Amino acid sequence: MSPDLLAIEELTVRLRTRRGIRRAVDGVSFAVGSGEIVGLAGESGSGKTLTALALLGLLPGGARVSGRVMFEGRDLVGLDRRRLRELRGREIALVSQDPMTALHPLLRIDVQLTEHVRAHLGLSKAEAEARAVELLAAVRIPGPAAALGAYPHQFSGGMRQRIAIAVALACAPKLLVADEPTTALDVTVQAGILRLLDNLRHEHGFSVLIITHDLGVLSAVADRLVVLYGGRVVESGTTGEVLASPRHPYTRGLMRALPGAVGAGQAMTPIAGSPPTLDSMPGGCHFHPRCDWAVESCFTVVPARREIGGGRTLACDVDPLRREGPETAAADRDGEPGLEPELQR
Amino acid sequence: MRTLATPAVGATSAAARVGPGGASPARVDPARVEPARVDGALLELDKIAVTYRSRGRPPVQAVIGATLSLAPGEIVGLVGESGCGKSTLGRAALGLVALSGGTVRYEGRDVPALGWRARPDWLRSLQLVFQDPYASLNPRRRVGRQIADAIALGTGCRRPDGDSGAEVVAALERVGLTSHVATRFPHEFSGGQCQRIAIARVLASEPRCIVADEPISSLDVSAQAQVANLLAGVAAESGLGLLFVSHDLSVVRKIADRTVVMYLGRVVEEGPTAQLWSAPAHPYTRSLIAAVPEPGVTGLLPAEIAGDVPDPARPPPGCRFHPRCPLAVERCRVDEPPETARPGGAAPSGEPARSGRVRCWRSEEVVELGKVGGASRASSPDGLPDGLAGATQ
Ligand SMILES: Nc1ncnc2c1ncn2[C@@H]1O[C@H](COP(=O)(O)OP(=O)(O)OP(=O)(O)O)[C@@H](O)[C@H]1O
Ligand SMILES: Nc1ncnc2c1ncn2[C@@H]1O[C@H](COP(=O)(O)OP(=O)(O)OP(=O)(O)O)[C@@H](O)[C@H]1O
Ligand code: SF4
Ligand SMILES: [Mg+2]
Ligand SMILES: [Mg+2]
Repeated sequence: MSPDLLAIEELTVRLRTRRGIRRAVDGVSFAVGSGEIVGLAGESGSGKTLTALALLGLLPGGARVSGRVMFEGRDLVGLDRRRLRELRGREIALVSQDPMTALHPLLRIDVQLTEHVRAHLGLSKAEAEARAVELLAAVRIPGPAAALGAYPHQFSGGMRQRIAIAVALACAPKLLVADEPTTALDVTVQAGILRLLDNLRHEHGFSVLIITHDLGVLSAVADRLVVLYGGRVVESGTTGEVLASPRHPYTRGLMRALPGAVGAGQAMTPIAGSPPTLDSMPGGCHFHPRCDWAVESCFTVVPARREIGGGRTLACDVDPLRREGPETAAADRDGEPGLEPELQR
Repeated sequence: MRTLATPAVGATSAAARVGPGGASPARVDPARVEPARVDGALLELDKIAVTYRSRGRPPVQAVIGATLSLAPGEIVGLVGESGCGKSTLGRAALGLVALSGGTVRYEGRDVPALGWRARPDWLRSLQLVFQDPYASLNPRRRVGRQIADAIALGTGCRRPDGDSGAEVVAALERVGLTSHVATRFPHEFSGGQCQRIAIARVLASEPRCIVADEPISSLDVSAQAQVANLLAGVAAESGLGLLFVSHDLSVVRKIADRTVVMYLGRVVEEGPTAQLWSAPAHPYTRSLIAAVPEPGVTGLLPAEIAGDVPDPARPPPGCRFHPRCPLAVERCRVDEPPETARPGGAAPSGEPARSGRVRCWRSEEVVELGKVGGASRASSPDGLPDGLAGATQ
């Protein structure tokens, strides 16, 4: 196997909240190989975006990072701002949920695409323009030459996201970090963007870290999955295996909550309660208050993440596959989609 | 009181409900909400047209000739891409926008375009649930107080027994929350909890019909399941009609009895949800279904629809979908297809006779294609078997 392009090791991000300092990302480790698409999954507040910002060196002011972010063998944590900015422009690019954060609303597309290319690759004006047309064609913008003279607002949401991807790809980065790139888009437009990402990585050979709470999206494009809960990795492995036989109770819960997971007419099964906030992070396994399989040790002991074969990891010592189904545990609670214990009916 | 004079109630039994001045018994049992006993439809939208006019821009026909009906206890899903007019149609149903054509009838009476003005009493049982739960709740009022207000509204003017009394608690329990919630403020809750509070508030006013505009779109997967199950449960148990607007087809498939598909202001297909999924009759419905990624089916890229949604101010001639339709023929570019009965296709046994409507010249052939399968997604980017698309271009 080729060495990993990106290896995140024990990444921890501490933030100051009103009630003190909290770990929003807590010892996260995973790797992205070259040409690979890795998906970072998890509910809102699980630390997906902060993980991405940490590796790009874009964390908010008060945040403190520890651990290592090895990119091609160099540790990006602690790298000075100027070097990081260079790296971000050239080797690591970000595509975010709102394409308008990547595109300047008042600048023509050609300016946004060519300035970038000229600044980083030192191309002439004509060369840069040729490259810009090439990029727009690559992201399937019809009439790329004409599109160069237009402004962002003249395009639909899906086209704007494609242009934002073109801007991100302008300097031929080795890693594309896409944070919820399709969440704001229609399924029809989303389908186009997913196909585009998949095609482009085959054509250009870059790696993608795609962040989304949508397991459907991940199953379509991601080679491997990393599932986050409360800032920790609870499960990881190849997409096919994790989704076909999820081992962590949280991943299993996510799958059962999906409308596609069960037959029509059958109700979706939500996970009891709701995700914790930084200030209400439970002890032990972060998931224990919502877990149907929790045993006493889950309340106090943080389960170690261990290898379970086939390149998979799991941070839970209670194997749902080897115990009675959740029906037994759920029965005591009346099957009620629950809340924090004191709010539970 | 802001009560407007209301005409005689006619054949509906709405009059049997406790009026604003009448003594209403304490309503602690949420299951007692009486379903309206209207024959057939609860809410009827007939050939609705809405045109937005803004200065300096051509008028936008956001909805044209849309017909839709909702029976008590029925859940109708309204789907389509962004900008196709779903919210506009939902707002039209509530009398929130001025119509440029058509009529809205609720429990047999014409709904006037009131905008955001006060509703007459008979319209108060028609309620709206918004996408953003925080926006629909007052951030500075405790949850219990807001629910008590809603109960007061539902009963006319009577205040319930305090902000955390039995009625408020019953309303919260109905959505799976406890009395502890009553003394808190909305911002203390997650999006999913907040949406349940917003729904508890709407239900507290005893609606018989709810229009929910993207009620789960801003929520996490698990919270989506909670809220969708809740709404479906309420419709089943208290017989209220639910118009569920959503761009999430997979959830609509789960909970809706019937599905209405809109494209660029037009209702292009309508029918029983199961039939629509097993054999869509409109190419657009097919494309929408094929675009939904299936979790668990790895490495299968969802199908995309060529091109973008056209500018609604300048809709294409002929069939509005023709520039993006892989099946378009010459006629589609010139004549707009009329609304016809959905061809039967392979209807699952036991389905009701009413199998819906469609607007497509080639619906007979489309329905023959049957279920949108994994194979068709994988083989071609637009989700159509190669033969059919190729033969007609
Ligand atoms: N600047 C900040 N200050 C304090 N807390 C923050 C800050 N940014 C994020 N958080 C908190 O850190 C946690 C992780 O946030 P993050 O944005 O990484 O979540 P996410 O997984 O990306 O969620 P979403 O799906 O909602 O985007 C959340 O609880 C969030 O409220
Ligand atoms: N107040 C308004 N003034 C002018 N045009 C409007 C107004 N509201 C909506 N429109 C236009 O009417 C069309 C239909 O809008 P509508 O909000 O009903 O769509 P939608 O299907 O709900 O979309 P979404 O999924 O994005 O919510 C769009 O083209 C929109 O730009
Ligand atoms: S009428 Fe023609 S263009 Fe319109 S959907 Fe049917 S086949 Fe396609
Ligand atoms: Mg995020
Ligand atoms: Mg809308």
